[in-house]
Amino acid sequence: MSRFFLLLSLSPLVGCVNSRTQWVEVTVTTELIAPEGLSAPVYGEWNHTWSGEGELRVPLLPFEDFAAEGPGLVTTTLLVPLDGVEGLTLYAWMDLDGDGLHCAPGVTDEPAGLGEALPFPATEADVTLSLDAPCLGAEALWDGG
Amino acid sequence: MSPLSLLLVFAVSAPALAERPPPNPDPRPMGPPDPHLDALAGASDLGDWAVSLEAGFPFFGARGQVALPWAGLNAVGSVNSALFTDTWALGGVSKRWVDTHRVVLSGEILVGGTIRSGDLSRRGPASQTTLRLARGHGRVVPALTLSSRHVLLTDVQEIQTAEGDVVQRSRSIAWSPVASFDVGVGVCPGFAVSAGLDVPWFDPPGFSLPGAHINLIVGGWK
Repeated sequence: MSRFFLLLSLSPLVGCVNSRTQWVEVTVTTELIAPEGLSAPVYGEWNHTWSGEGELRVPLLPFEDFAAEGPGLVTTTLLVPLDGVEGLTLYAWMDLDGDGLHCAPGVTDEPAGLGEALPFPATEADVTLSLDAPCLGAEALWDGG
Repeated sequence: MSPLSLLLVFAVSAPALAERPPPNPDPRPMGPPDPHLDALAGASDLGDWAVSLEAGFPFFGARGQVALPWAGLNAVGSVNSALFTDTWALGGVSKRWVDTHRVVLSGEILVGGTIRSGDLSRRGPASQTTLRLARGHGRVVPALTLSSRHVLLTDVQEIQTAEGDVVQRSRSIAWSPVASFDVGVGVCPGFAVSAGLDVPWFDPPGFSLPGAHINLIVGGWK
């Protein structure tokens, strides 16, 4: 009987890992294109293009902040999960008045843009973002993927 | 009528079923073993064994113990599940620390593993430390059980980088104490039943619903 108890106690030890997740470290080169003559800090967020499954599948789930000193090339390194999410999309806007808010009341001209980083998943990706849509949110710029 | 009341009525109305010799206070009474005392106290005397089957909410399970010929130890095996989604399989040893005519106090150390399914799924090697305090030796045995359960959670992250794949491991310990109060009743030599209340505390500080259970207990001797 004691042998039975020994086997009983050892059997669950097979498979001691609680969870195993896969990630990719992506170096993204972002080209921020602003309307001619405009230069100001750019803020935004990195999104999973799609996340969830079935009826809970949703687009544009933010997971990391984005910041740049202005238009031009920006290199960012991101750690992105591969389980349950697809794609990598950047939403950004230009802070013309320097208040840290996108289109606060009375402000109607801060341009925004949305772009998908490709290829994904990969350790290197590129995205070109045209900041040409004043005061639009990510959902308004989303074309359905 | 509640199961506890039913057990008490049965115990009072059938006194002839388990007539026992006068207790011998030093150190244990003579005669056949008390399987309910052994099971609820967590350890049997040399040559004795006890098996209990538990059903209730949320816990279902089985537990067996057999006395070993060394240092008063018992070998213990236990399988316990909360609603069949949080299952623990453990084995180890127990020992009576205090064994007087009135009180039995035992300690128990078990190791094994646990698997939980569902949205809060987890798995890993586990341990359980238990203190059992039972009021002996008679037909009706109340017992208090305090258990401290620990699970070692190992999470593995496999990261693809430009320089190659990297594997990172992080470990944490989850703690889940459980308290139970039982009343066991000897039905006949070698067979008993008990009923009890459970106060589990899954993943503190979150709140867990209390539960209740009944046990069928059988025991034997050489």
